[in-house]
Amino acid sequence: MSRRGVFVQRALVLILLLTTVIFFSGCSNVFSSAQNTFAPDGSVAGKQRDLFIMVLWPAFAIFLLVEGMVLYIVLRFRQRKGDDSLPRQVHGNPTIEIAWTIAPALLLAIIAVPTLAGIVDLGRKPHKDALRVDVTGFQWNWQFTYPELKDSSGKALTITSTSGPPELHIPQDREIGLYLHSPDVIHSFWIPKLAGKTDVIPGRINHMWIKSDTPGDYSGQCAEFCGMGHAQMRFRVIVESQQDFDAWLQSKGVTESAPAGDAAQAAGATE
Amino acid sequence: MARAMTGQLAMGGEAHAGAAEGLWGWLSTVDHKKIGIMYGLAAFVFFLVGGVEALLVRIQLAAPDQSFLNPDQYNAIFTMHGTTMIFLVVMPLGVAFMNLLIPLMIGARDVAFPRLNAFSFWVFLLGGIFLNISFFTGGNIFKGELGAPNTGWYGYAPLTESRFSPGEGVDYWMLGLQILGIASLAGGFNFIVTILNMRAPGMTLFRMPVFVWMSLVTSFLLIFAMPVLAVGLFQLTFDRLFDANFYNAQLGGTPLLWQHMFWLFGHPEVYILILPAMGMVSEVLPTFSRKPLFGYPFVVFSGVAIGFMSWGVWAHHMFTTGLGAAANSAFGVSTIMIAVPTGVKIFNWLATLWGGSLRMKTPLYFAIGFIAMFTIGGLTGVTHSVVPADYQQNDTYYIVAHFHQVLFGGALFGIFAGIYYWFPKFTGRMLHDGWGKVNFWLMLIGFNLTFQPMMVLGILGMPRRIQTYPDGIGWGFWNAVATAGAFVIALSVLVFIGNFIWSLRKGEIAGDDPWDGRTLEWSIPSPPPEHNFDVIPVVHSVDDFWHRKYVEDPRGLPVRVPAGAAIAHGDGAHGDAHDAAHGIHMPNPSYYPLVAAFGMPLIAFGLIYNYALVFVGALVLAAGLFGWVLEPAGPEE
Amino acid sequence: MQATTTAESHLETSTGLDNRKLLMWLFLGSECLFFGSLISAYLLYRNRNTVGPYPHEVYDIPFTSISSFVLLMSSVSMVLALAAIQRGDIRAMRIWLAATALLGITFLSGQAFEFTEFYDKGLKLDSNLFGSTFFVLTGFHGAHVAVGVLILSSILARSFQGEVRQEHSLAVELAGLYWHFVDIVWIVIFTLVYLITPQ
Repeated sequence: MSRRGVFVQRALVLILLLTTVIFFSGCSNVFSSAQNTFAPDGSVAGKQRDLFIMVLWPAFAIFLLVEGMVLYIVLRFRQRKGDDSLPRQVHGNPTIEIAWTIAPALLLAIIAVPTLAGIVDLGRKPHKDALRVDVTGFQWNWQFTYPELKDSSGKALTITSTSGPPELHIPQDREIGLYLHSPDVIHSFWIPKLAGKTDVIPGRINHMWIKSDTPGDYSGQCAEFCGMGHAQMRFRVIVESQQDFDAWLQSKGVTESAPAGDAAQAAGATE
Repeated sequence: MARAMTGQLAMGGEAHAGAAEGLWGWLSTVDHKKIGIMYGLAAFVFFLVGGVEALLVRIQLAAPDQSFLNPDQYNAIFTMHGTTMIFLVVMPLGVAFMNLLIPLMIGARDVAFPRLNAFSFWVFLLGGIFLNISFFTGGNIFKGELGAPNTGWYGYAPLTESRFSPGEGVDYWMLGLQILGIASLAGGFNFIVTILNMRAPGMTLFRMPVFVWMSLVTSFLLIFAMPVLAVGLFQLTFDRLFDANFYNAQLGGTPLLWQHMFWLFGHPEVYILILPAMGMVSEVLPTFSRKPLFGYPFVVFSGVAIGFMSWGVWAHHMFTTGLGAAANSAFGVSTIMIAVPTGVKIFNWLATLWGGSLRMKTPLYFAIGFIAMFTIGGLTGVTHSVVPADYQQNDTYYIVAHFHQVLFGGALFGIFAGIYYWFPKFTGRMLHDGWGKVNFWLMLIGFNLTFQPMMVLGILGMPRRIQTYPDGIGWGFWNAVATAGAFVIALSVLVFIGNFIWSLRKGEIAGDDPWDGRTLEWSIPSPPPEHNFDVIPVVHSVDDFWHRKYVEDPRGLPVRVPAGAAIAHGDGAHGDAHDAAHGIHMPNPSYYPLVAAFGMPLIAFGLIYNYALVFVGALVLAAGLFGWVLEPAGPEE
Repeated sequence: MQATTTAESHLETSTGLDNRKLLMWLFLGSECLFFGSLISAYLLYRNRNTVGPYPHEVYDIPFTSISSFVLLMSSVSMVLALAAIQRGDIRAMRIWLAATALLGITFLSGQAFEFTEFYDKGLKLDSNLFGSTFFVLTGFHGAHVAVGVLILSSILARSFQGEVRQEHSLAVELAGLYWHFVDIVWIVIFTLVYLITPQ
């Protein structure tokens, strides 16, 4: 290669290295967000983050191993100037190959165990005494109905919003059972800091449970492409103390709450 | 450039009596090499289109609250970006190489059905054009009114149903994909028959190059997966055009039917995208390490295993749809396990490089880049298979990072390795190696700058397919970095185009075997004569050509055999004056595949605009097919 | 299907199978996925109709049994056509091919009649899930039968031009493979869609 070619190559490698350095030295505020799934404030999101971190460790180790090998190989085995001899023509080594088939299989089998446990735990139906909220996602907004919480005329509390994202208020430290349905296209209900998403599909009612012990104002948005207003289909979840929640209910005119048990049974078809 | 290309390629042997020159020659060709080149050029043009679409998306997302593209435009552009890159770029680039290489690698003169091959190409080209015409049907394109489909490359129902997408965009999408599906099916059938039936004497299946094996698996995946997509699309077509109820929840239907069918196709599809590139990498690494592929049987078996297992993982695209713990568990486990054969390949490739004498040329750079990038992509895939984590990752930029990692860092890098490696064979000249390395580094840097930030963005809670995001949510910095990276990629592509054009005229003359290759294509002239081999070789082992050039001494070190390479050269035949003397009959060129191909878009236009046109299209198709069937396949007896 | 010379058949193939025969088998394999998907959609939706008409309200099983029998018999005549050309009896081949095509047309007529009956009873493509899945599935099957009839008629026509001789038996064999496949698909459809219906 020409001297200029070598120079250009080395310059680009340098740029690559510099970029990597800048990348990792970036200020901490580029790693924070109101929807940061790695800073969970709800038990579901917490479990999901833990599982993710659990698999990231071995993944990162394998990453270092493979990329390290690549770098080592390229440095150690590059053809030396003037040396045109051919290397030993190794065709394979069945023993090693079987080993590196079985070892990853075992590692992956290990990962499967907490995965399955997580699927069952997080996918279970909400407890009988969870506070029930019926979530309706539609083009391009959300509506929240609390069937157990009624005003004096017997009408269930319903939250919508025509300006700004609608707010789903929930009391802290209590399990909330969400029942999701759509009258139009598929949406997805996602409050990253509290829980992973569940799709909202016309013709079926999906369920999920959430719980948080950290009062706060959490950002959520639709996570399944649903047309023109998809990016604007946001909402907020307000986790507050039982006191503040009761005060909010009062301000909304709620005078009675039905016994917790019925709601879960009345959830109806999951199909 | 077309003339330079034709000039280069025409060197390899002109024609039969009666075959047309120039442009008409290309329209009627049934030569797999010419068809492969047309596939490659067309796919590359679509790559530029898809790339511009990507740049538009990245400009829109570079900062919060932008309105460079309004939601309607944004939705159309990201839909077309995905559809184009998958169906009009990576798939046809894979098929281009399958066309160029398979007959040469197995010692055949062409594919089993040369006219079917031409038909596949023309249907693909017309289908791609049909799909892109949709941009112009939405009103005034110069005012930014785009008619292109805007429901995502995966077109989820019921968003794609008439009542939610009343325009014609989705019609173009569903009918365009049907047309492209026919091209893929035809190609799949052709390559399977070619590989199974037309191998040179002595070439058992386990003496075939790995690229041929991967093409065989890919072709089986194609012929079994495309029909499922076709049915899903037909059902959508009946819903949209004739008010059927396949995806109508109000009458008891379920949108999940679409998802199941789409992903039953869609998951094998991603292996269709990656396996040819894996095959190419498996050819490049041994040549540039100057030692054989480590563990040929394991690499082949893992490819076959991936082919089988790809049918059992589809619902991992549906983990958040509420299928239930049983389904999520089953598909979680199957997805975890499909990492095993993939990992085997990575280790075998590393072992191929290990102990070699690495010639640091551009093809090797891209092949090693493939290993490095695909590993990251594969590992993120494993993180998705931890199902509860996927409830956070799904539909976010973390997924976008994953699939670009495997499709760009993987498939495209592998394809670029193939381009730099085989360009000399088909043009007779070398691509400039220095600029090739500039291409590589720019592409690697640009790629990483664009897509690694997306892993962060996904974790920070940025969903996919959003036209903009609010200021203050914390995504601005990484989006800006990603946009910068996208322009670096664009620069690298410009470097490549410059290299390509320059090298066609001024590249170093390659000769038959510029890389000291291992497989049969290096045993014939560059570019090859129309009939490929003067004498069909008799094959005795894997890497047969290498073993003719070298024998191993008792220590396992190769020793060059003088004139060992000269087997398949009769008298260096250039031009078919020699064909008759050798008694070689090549298939006649034909216009019927092109005629028949025209029927398809006509039918499709007819379904959208005027049913009379459907009959016209059907007649054109029938005329083309009848002409084709009744025309003799070979020279008159 | 091609009344071409068998220039290729003297070429040895690595598997020993003629290229075109292998192609037909692969094509039929992919058609299994095609019809399998359509049948799956039908089965998945079988119990989900929220409105009628329902299958048991429209089906006329005796009638459909007869037209199924007709199609089944057409496979017999197809086999006889192949046997005829293989022993060089072009005249007999023509008779049996014509019979097969006619039986196919009879089947299609039966389908058309059946569809109009269903339509009169209120079952349309857009009525409900049953209408959509039923008509699309059986419609595609019928289209395949129609294409088969076209292929047989083409071979028949070519034979009158003297272009079909004993050495072209492969074309008839491939047409036969296709025809039998379409017949088998019908047996599956008849069983799963007509005979096994929810009440």
